[in-house]
Amino acid sequence: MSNAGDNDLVAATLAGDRTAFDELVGRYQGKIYNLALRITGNTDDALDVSQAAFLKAYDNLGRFNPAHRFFSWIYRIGLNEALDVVGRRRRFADLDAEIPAAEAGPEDRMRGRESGRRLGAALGRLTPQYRAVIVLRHLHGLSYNEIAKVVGVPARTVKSRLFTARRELRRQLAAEGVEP
Amino acid sequence: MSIRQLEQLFWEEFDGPTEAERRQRIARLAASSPQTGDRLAELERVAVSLAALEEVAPPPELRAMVRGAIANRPAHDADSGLIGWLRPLMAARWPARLAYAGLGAALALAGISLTSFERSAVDPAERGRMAGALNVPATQPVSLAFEGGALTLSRDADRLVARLTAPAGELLRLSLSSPLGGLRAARVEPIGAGRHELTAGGGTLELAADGSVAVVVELGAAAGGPLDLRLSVAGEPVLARRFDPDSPTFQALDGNQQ
Repeated sequence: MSNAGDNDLVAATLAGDRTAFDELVGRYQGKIYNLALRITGNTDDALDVSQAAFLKAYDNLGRFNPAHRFFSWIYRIGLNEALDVVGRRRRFADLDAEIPAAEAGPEDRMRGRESGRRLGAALGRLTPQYRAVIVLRHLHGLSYNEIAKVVGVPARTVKSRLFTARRELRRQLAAEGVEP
Repeated sequence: MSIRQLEQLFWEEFDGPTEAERRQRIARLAASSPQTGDRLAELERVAVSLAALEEVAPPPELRAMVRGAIANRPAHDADSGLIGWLRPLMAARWPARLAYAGLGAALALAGISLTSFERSAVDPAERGRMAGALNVPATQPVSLAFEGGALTLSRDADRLVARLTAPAGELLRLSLSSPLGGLRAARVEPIGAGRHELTAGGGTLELAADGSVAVVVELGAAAGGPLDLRLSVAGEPVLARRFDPDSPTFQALDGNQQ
C-alpha cells in the first residue's frame, strides 16, 4: 500500500480496509500535528486536535470528493478543529512555551533555539487565521491556491492575509531590537 | 515606491517562481537608498527566519490512538458507501453529474419497451443515479415511455421528482396538478442544453422544456394524494394520467389503469 495514491487509499478504506486509512494517518500525521501545534500553541491540544481530525475524516470519508486532493481536505479538517479549540479557549499562549525544538546539530542548537523562540513568540501573537496562513505557507510549503482551498477563502485573500501576517511578524521582530 | 509596495514586491519575489527581472529590480531598489536597503534587509531576515521554521515529530502515540479509535468504529461497508460506479458521479461537477444521470437514464430506458404509455419499474441502478443526481430519496420510481422519450417519477413523503427525457428541439409541456392543491416547485434541473420554463398558478405547475429536464416538486397539501399529469409534445397531447403514489400506478384520466 505504501506506493498507493491517496485516493486509492481512500477507496480501499471505503471498501472496508482499515489499514488503508492507517496508511493515510501515517502520511499526514506530521503535517496535521504541526499545523495543530502552531495554531493551538500546546502539545496536548495538538494531540487532541490531530486525533479528532483523523477520526472526523474517517467518519466522513464517504463525503470526500475524489476530484479534489485529499491533503487539502484533511488539512481543512485539521485547521477547523484547531481553530475551534482556540476559539473555545480564547487564549493565545506564546508558542515558545511548549513547542519542542526540532532536531539540530550542537552548534546550531543554541542559535536556532533562540531564533525559533523569537519567531514562535511572534507567531503566537498573531490571530489564529494569520498564524494558519503563515504555517501553511512557510512550514508546509503550500501555494496560494492550495492554502485557499484549505482555508476556504479566495487566493487573493490568502495573499492579503499573508502580507498582513508577515508585516506584523516583521514589526514584532524589529520591535525586539534584535535580528530575527 | 511606498514601503507597502516595496514589501509587496519583496514577498511576491519570495513566493513566486524565480524571476530574474524581479530579482534584479529588488537589487536595484536595495541600492537606491540606505532606507530602502535597510528595509529589504529586514524583510530578508524575516524571510530567512520563516524559511527555517521546522516541523517537530508528532508523538508516537498519535497514530496508535487513531488506529485504536477506528478499530472500535464500524468499517466502511463496500455495499453502503459511496463506492464503485457512484464515486465517479460524485467526483464530477454538476453538469457532468447530470449528463451521467442522463446517460444512465438512457441506458436504463434502452432496456425497457418503448411501447407508448407502457408503465415499467425503473432499474435500481437508474434509481440510485437519479437520486444521487437530484439529491432526493429514491422511492418507487416509475416510468412512462412515449414516442421519443420518457417521463420518470420518483417520490418520497413530501417531494416528487419528475424527470423528462426527450431529444432537444422537441417542445414538451408537462402539467402537474393535485385535487388537494398545494404543489410548489422546489427546483428545476436542466439536463443538457435545452431551455425550460416553469409557471405556477391555481395549484397547477406547468413545465415547458426544450429537451430533457427534471423538476423537484414540494407536494405540500398534495402529499399522499394522487397527482394528475398531462404531457404534450410539440403541441400534441401524449399523456394524461393520474398517478397514485401508493400503488404506484398510473390511471388514464378517463379511468383506465395503465
